Amino acid sequence: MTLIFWGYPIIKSLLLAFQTTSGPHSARFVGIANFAMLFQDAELTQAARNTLCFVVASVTLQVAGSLALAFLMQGASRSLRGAVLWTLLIPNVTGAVFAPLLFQFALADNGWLNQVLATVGIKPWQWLKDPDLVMPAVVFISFWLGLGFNTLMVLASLESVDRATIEAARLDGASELRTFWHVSLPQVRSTVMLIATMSAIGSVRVFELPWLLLKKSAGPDGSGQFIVTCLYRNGFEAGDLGYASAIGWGLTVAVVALTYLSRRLTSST
Amino acid sequence: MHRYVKEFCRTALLLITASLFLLPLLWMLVFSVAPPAASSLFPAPDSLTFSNYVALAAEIDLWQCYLNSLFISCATVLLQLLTSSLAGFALAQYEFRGKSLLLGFLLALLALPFELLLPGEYELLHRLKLLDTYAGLILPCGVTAFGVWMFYNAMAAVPKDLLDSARLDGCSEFAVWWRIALPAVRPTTTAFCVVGLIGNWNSYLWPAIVLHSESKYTLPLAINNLAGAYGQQFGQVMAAVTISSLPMFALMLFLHKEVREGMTSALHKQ
Repeated sequence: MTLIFWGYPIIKSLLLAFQTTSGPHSARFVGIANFAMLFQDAELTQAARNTLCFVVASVTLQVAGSLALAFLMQGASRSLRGAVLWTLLIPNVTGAVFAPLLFQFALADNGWLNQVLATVGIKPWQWLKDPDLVMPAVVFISFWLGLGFNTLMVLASLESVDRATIEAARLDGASELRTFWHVSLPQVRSTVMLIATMSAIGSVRVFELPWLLLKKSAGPDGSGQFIVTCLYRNGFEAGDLGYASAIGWGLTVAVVALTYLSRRLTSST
Repeated sequence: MHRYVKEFCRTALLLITASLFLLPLLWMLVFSVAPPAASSLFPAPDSLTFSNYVALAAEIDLWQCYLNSLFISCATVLLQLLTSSLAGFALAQYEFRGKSLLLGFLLALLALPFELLLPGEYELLHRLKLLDTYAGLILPCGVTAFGVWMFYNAMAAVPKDLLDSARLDGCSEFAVWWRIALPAVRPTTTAFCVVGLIGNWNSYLWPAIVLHSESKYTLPLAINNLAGAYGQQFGQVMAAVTISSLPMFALMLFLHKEVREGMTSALHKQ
């Protein structure tokens, strides 16, 4: 069964990548035209640029956010830590499918975010209609979704840090922050790398969040266009499975490159 | 004195962060029980009504979607559990030719994005006439590289002596797996099931590609369609999101400790 449902699609998508189709019947061999198109398709170029921007922003935010929170939570009482962690994990359970619906309305012109802003005297922003604001919105929601899990990972690995080294540093007069930065952090480096890699790979593959947030569209001026949304539009809305496969291979190259990069970074330290 | 100030700041900061994270969900709840036309926070809706839920039930066959989602999520997770734990057990506890090759293959699959397979998978289902069927939705998801790898790690930690003594007592290989190995990795099983259930409950892309008829729709599909069609009825959508996420919230409420431990131990072995 593994062979059928993994092996066949992999080979088929390799074959399809050299064909053009409209619907599953009409395959026609086109050579490397699909791959050539990858580099000429303005829509895809924009999608790739958006995705890159999203990856950088969300990896930075996730790593910085989870480290900061873990630092704060480290010294907190057990019950407080448990409660906070539970609250942070709740968005994760809501998932990338239902969260966009919540935020469609939160970010609408008369949504509650603008209402909150109005109380402090800020004029309403058109979050999902302004090309410059779509990306921050998507980044923020994904931050909201993923932070809890990453914080959990950092906290768990902080427990394995050698207590003696921390106490020695504290006795030498180092502040809590300096101890965290210079003593604890180097010891949990591999976890931090793991978080960075996982959120990078997850972000390259982002689909549901922007797609459903923007009501199944590419957003204003294509600002909500990402690699996988592009794949979906070409393959399953326009019916060109061949071109979709080519995009899929492009995506795979990106993911494999990211994995390789993180392995290199982890092993060199 | 200085210490207390610091503790106070820390607690306050944490509580503020946590409540900011809860806010969107709190407002979801509030608006789901507010009068349908309400959209204003200031002043907040002052009457409590379930008319959004009633209207929602009239709009989509909620019960059917619930059953679909439940059936598909559970069937997928059970199938994944079966394949992952069997494969993980075999890879961790048996020596056979080509094992290192298989492990390498597994690691390569881990790096492969699922999206790459979509076009080929779609074409395959079309050929097998499995489009728009539950089998077509569930079977391709039946094996996960991540699951196999997770169980491979967990099963490798089960002592060989334990399994051997069971064999001496006359256990079949299947019984060794079912009665000794599987119970021994119980935390992994729990974490895998809960995370898998949440993941499948919330999956959108694959069902959106496979399912075409509305009677087979899962909750994410049905509700996103509803939100697209009735964009302004937002109390109704909030009600829909509330009841669809409720089972997963409950799951997380009861099992979050187990999940935390299982997930962190699984990921730390990397």
